[in-house]
Formats: sequence, C-alpha cells, structure tokens
Amino acid sequence: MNDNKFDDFVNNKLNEYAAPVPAGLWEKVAEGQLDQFIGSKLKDAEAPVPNGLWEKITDNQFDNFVSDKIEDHQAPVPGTLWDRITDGQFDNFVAGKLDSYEAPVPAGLWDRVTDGQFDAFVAGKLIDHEAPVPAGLWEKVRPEEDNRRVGFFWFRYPAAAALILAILSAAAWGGYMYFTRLKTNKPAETTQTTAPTNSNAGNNTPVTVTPKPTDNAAIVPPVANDAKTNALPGAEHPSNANAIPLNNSANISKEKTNRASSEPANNEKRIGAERSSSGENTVASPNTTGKGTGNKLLPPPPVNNNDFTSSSYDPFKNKTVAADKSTDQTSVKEPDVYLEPFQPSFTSISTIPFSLTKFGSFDKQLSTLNHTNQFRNVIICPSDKGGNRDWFVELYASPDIAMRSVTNGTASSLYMQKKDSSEAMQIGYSAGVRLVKPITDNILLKAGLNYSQVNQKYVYRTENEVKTTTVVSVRTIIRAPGDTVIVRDTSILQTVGFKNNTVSNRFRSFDIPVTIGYQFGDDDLKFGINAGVVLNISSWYQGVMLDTSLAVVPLNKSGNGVYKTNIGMGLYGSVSVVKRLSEGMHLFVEPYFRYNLSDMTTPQAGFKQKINIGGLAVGLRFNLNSKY
Amino acid sequence: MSLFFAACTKELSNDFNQYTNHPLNDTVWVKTVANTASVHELAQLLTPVLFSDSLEITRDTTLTYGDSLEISFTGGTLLTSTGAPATGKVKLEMFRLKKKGDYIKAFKPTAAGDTLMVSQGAFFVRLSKNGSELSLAPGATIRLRFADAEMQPNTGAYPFYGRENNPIPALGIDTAFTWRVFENISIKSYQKQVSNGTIKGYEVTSKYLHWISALNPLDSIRINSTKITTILPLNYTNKNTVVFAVLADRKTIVNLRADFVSRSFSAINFAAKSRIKLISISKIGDDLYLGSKDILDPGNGAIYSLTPEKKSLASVLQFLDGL
Repeated sequence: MNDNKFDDFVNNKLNEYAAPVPAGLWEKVAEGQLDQFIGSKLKDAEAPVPNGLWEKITDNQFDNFVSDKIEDHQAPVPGTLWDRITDGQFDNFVAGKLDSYEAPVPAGLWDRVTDGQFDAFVAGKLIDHEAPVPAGLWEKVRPEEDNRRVGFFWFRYPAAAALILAILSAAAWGGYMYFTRLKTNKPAETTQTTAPTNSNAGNNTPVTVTPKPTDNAAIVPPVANDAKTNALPGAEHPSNANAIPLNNSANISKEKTNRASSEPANNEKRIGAERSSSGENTVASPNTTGKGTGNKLLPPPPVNNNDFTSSSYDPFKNKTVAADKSTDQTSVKEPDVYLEPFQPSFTSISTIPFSLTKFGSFDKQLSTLNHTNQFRNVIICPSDKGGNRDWFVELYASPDIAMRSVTNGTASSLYMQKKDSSEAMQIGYSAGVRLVKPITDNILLKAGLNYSQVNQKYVYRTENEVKTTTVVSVRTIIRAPGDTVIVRDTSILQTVGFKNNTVSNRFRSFDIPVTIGYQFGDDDLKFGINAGVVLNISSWYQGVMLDTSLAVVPLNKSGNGVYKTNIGMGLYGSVSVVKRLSEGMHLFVEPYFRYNLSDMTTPQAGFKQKINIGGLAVGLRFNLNSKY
Repeated sequence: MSLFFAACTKELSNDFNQYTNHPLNDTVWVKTVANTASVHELAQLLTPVLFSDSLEITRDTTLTYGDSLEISFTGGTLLTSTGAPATGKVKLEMFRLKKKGDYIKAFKPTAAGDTLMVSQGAFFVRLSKNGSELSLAPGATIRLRFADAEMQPNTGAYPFYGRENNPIPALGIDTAFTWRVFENISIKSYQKQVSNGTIKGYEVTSKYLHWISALNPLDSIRINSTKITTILPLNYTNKNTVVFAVLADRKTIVNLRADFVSRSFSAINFAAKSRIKLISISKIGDDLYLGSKDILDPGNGAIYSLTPEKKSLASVLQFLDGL
C-alpha cells in the first residue's frame, strides 16, 4: 500500500470526523509552523467558491484584506512584463481606478506652485502636438497676403504712400489723443454703466462691480477690446460685456474669490474655473460643464470684482443652467477644447480647437477629468507682455555726415573734374519728431517728420576781381618856395586779383521716416535696432553750381533742373541706446544710416549724384501715458 | 555739440589774392618814366588820324583846304634823307590842332616851358616819299594860312615851332616837346573873301616841318599867377597818368608835370581868378580812366584831388572833343 492509498483511506474515514485539539497543543505549535504546514499542503489545491460567497463579500472588504496583507510586500516584476503592458493599458487601468477619485489639495500646495510650472507642464505635453486646422481658418489668414501686396505699394507710389502714412500718422495720433482723453477723463463712467446693464440682463444675482481706480487707470483697454471679447468662440457674454473691458474679465479668476482676501490682485492671471455649488474649490472641466453647451470659454468676470462667489457670479446663467448644475461625467460628445490665449489681441482665429480623445496619452493625462482630479484646474494665462498701450514721442537732432557718389553721364571730363575739385561735403544736421508706438515691450513702430540739411562747401575761383580799400595817403607838397604842406588825402585804393569764393550749398529736405525696431534691456537701459524707410516729401536747394559752360551760377530752390525736388525713398537702419532719465522721459542715442534708393539728379543732368547720410541722433523720448 | 555748431555754421567767405604783376596794383612812382610805361600808350590811343595828300614837289604848289587853310610849297626845296632834292610826287600828312581837346590828344600843351600861352592855331605837317621822310632845304620855308570864323587875329601872337625829342619817339608821348618861337620870323594876319563874307586868320612862314603854331604868351597875367597841384588815388602814378589843365576862357592847355617826391601833378603860372578844368587821363592795363574837376578861382597853392573813373576810349574822346 502506498502513501496515497493510505491517505485516501484515512480521509474517507475521517471525512466527517472532528476531534478536539488537546489542551496546550496550539501553544506548542510555533507561530508559522501551522501556516507553513497548511500552505505546503494547500499550495496546489483549488477549491470552488461556494455560491453566494462573493456576494457576501464587499469590494472593500476583500480589497482591504488583500491590501493589508500585501501592503509592505514587494515582488519583482517578471521579465518582459512591462514590455507586454502598453502605455494605454496601464493608463486606462489607473484612470479607471482613479475615475471618481477626489483628493483635497494639501494646504499651501498652491502657494508652492509657481506660475511657470503648470505652463511648462502643459507645454511639454503639447510640444509635439499637431491639430488639424479648422475649415476656413486659412481664408481668414489670407488678408495678410493682401497686406504684403500693399507693402509693394509703398515702393511703387512713394508719394501716395507718404500721403497715406501721413494720414495714418495723424489718425494714430488722433486716436491716441482720443482714447487717452477717454481713459483719463471717464474712469467713473465704467462703473455707472456696468451696474444697470447687469440688471437689464435679467441677472438675478447681479455682479457687484467695484472697480479700483488704480486698476482702471492701468488696465482699461481701448473699446476695441470689447469686440474681441465678443469674438471668443462660443462665448456668451453677459449683456454688460460691452461695458466691461475684456482685460479685466479675462484676468480675474473665479477661484480667486476664495482667496481674494489673502492674495494680491495679480491673481488676475488665472482662468476662472467653475465653482461647485458647495463652494469648494472643485473645478469643473469644460467637459464636465460642457454637456449641452459645448466647450465654451468661461466668460469673463466683472472688472475688479473681489467678491466673487458662485451665487453672485454665474456667467452661464442665462444659457447653461442645467449644465452648470451637473457634475456628472456623462458626456458622449467629444467636443473641442480651445486653448485660450487670453490676451488682448485674442480673436477667434487664434483659437485652435482639437479633440482630447484623439491623443491617447493626452486622454490620460490631460483629460479635464483626470486633470481636475489630480490638480487644481489652475491655468496660468500667458502674461500680458505682448500688449503695450504706451505712446511715446521722440524729439531728436543729429549731426550728419553725407556721403556723396557721383557718376558721369553726358558731362565732359573737364566738367566733372572741376565739379569734383570744387565740391566738398561737410557736416550737416537733421532734426525731427517721431511718434513711437510699442507693439510689444520689445517691438516699436515709429513714424514722424524729419528735416535734414546736407551742407556742401563749394569753392570756386573768380578772376579780375577788384578790391577797393579806403586809404589815407600823406603827401608833402611844396606849394611855393618855402611853403610846404602835408596833405592827408582819403582815397580808394583798388587792387585787382582773383578770389577763391567759398559758398555753402544747402541740400534740404523734409522726409517721413517709418521704422520698426526691436529693443531689449531693462527699464533703465535699453538697446535696440531699427529699420525702415524714409519717404521724401520735398527737397530744395541753395547755393551755386556749375553750368554746362563751366560757369558758376546760382543754384535756385528747384535745383536748376539738375536736382530733383523729390528724391524718392530711402532705407533707414539704426541702432539705439535708450537711458531712462525719469519715469516718463528717456535719453536716446541712435547712430543711423540712410541709404537713398534713387539719384537726386534729374535724367536731364549730365551726371548722376546720390547722397547717403550717416548720423548720430541724440534726443529725448517722452512717454505720453506717463503721469509724471 | 561742436558737430552741431559745425553743421549750423553758415560759411560764406572769399579769399582775395592780389595779382602780382597787374598794372592796377602797381602804385609805385618812378623818377623817370620809361618809354614802355602805359602812359605812353595813351598817345597811340588818342592821337588823331593824320590827313594825307600828295603834291608835285618839283614846282611851287599851294594846297587849299576849304576857306580856312592854305599850305604852299616852293618847288625843289625838299630833300631826301641823303640830302638830294626830292622830285616828283610826295606824300603830305597834316593835322590841324583846332580844339582844346586836340592839343590833349596830340599831347601838345600850349606852353613853352613854364610859360603858359594861348594858342591861335597849330599844325603838324609831314612830307615823305616812298616811305622816307623829307626835310626842308636850308633856308627854304613853307607858308601856312589858317583862319576860322571865331578867330580874331591879334598882334601879340608869335610863330612857334615844336621842339621835339631827338630821336622822336616813334610811339608815345614826346615828353621833351616844347614850343619854341621862330627867331626873326613874324606872324602876319590875313583875311580872305569868301562867298558869305570875309574871314580873318594868320599867315605863318616856317623853316621847319612838323609842329607849327601861333601862340600868345600869357606874360601879362603872370604877376598874379599861382600853382595848381593835383593828387590822385594811389593807383594813379606817373607811369600811367597824365594830367592837364585847360583854361575855360582861353585856348590854353597845360600839362601838369608829375612830381615824384610828392606823388602829385602840378603846374605853375596859372592866373588867379581863372576858371580851370583839371583833366586826368590814365591807362591802367587795358582800361582807361578819366578824371576831371572844374576849378573856379584857384587859391594860392591850391591842391585838388581827382578821382578818375573807368571810361571807354570813345567816352574819353567824346569828352575831349567837348572841351
């Protein structure tokens, strides 16, 4: 009889038998001895689970049992296991497990998160992302080509371009003056206009707008921003949107409401997030709230509303009441998500929609649900550095060095030789005024009016010139023997000779310089480079010149038919150093070079002459927005 | 900052450079005027054109020019340069100094030394054959009869001949010229019946050719004479300027001599209470300068300043003809 036969026999016999354990026996058994015994006996055993057993066991019971048992257990991962698990599998597993998980944010965590961290995180994830361009987007971009063609217009019709530029400059100046006056003279009107408009919109919880005067003065943008606000895709703004500047609304976070008392006003950078009805800082993603409403950008809160609560401010109140109340993740639609530029120049064109579901990893990491479960939905807006509402005016003067180039056309060599020996360029000067509009903190657009005078020394010799000098001659004259007188006679002494005449020729002009520049540096000292065009308005002359018979003749204002009264367009390049003298005034030094594209001589002239100018402009830049 | 000033400075200048050899710049007086001095060029510019004619010299010939002039030659009295009698036709060149300005043009003032005289008439006569000048044989004479409607012959006139430099300057002013009275030759007055009446004149017999005149000395008024001195600007020197004094009421033309020491021009023996016109003629370079001043009652040792002006030759001649 082998062991198995004996065991089977005993088991059959003792199957229903229970025998008491002798007293003290269990104490004698060492801890783990029985477990090892049982474990070794049941290692390969399989037993069916009795019916209804699993139903009696709750998930938590089993999970807690297992997790308690294996809490500190560490087991090596079998080889190639990770290779067999795809990222999506793991992500889906984790996401499924953490689907409805909500965890409170540790105290002080938000304070430790810097502005750039989240941006860097998002940017890192989207760096290689490509999204299809929505239909019709390129058509909206197409006008740039037209603008490019317009740029050639300047080259083809400089005079017309000059006129247009002058008009634009005047319009810009007028616009600036208008808006500046509007801004500075009517800060209170914003408040007065806002409140009644809210009530007219039927808002049962009217926004309490308490603009801070200082903020208004600094932030209130031009009216045009309202139009941009209205252009946000899908955004439904309160009827008072027209009275509330976009900048303020976009910059104020709703969650700021809870922290407004402890955080400075610069929290405006954060995007407003949906607040739960309980008032917790639970942030609803666009997906969550987007049911039935689409993924619309959160509308801007009112200006400087430091008392934001869910009851006092509900931007979707009129349109998305049901959606706002729902917190279920039941969306079956895959709506587009818009990255919100949140900049004053924002338009619908610059918002590129894309679907989160099209990207597996993004679905895991950046789906609004997951994201909001793991992080507070704090989106740091791009800083507002791109916009600059300053206006400057520059007054400057410059000593100039004129570089002349002359080529012979039909003139004789003797003429050219005499002309060359007679003429010498000298120091000239320029002076002007420019209106400066910073497109950004670094990019400046300048246009103005420039007067320049090129001096030329013209030396020529004239023969048989008679010079008269008054002299007193003294003579001793004997009138008669013994009668001698001394006679002092005042007379004119004439001498004849040649004269080397030196005449200063003046080549004067009025021009419109239009430049764009890039500057960098700190507030105290900036460096910049500028380039642009110089459009001649008018040129006129004074002095002398050689005529075809080699005689020196006066040079009249219109250039004797030799020089043009409009020398056309030139190119302008410069570098600049700007030093701040006070809050509203800067000193700048700008070495520059002006290259004229066309000759200053007419086609009828026997020679071609062009003058290029290099100079050192020194001037003052005044900030027209400065209160100082 | 200096660059700005340099840019704004209006530079207008002329640098005058005097010619070194230009005559106008030559203000130097000389003790002796060279024959090349520009003043001699005045003689070439102002000397009148000679009247020319021809005659048969082998017989006695009288040439009559209108009612105012007759000139008579005795046949066989003209000699060639070799001393042989000239024969056949010879060329006559003649000029009559009739107006005051003519004396200036010919640079023949009416003075003999310091003696001022009143001219009754003066002539230049020259004979030549085949380009060779002829001379009168010793003892031979020519006779001149001249008259005009204004002339009132008087008995105080004397026949004069012109003493010229030897050799005679071919071009330029004969600075040594002076009038000499003919010894033992008297002047005659004559009258001639013409169609509209009678004209009166003088008949002068001369044993010399060239300059012949009838002059009245001003000895009678020398007692109250005075000296006139003229000064000019420094540009006018004795190298380029001549100065004359012309009496207003008499045909008396006086050349004021240049005085190197005082850089002035002067003459003596002018009668007080005279009306005098001072005239300066200068040639500087290619330009002529004319100065004039009327003097009324010159005082003792009067000094006058002239300021010449640039004039054309025609203007100068016109001015001289109007004296």
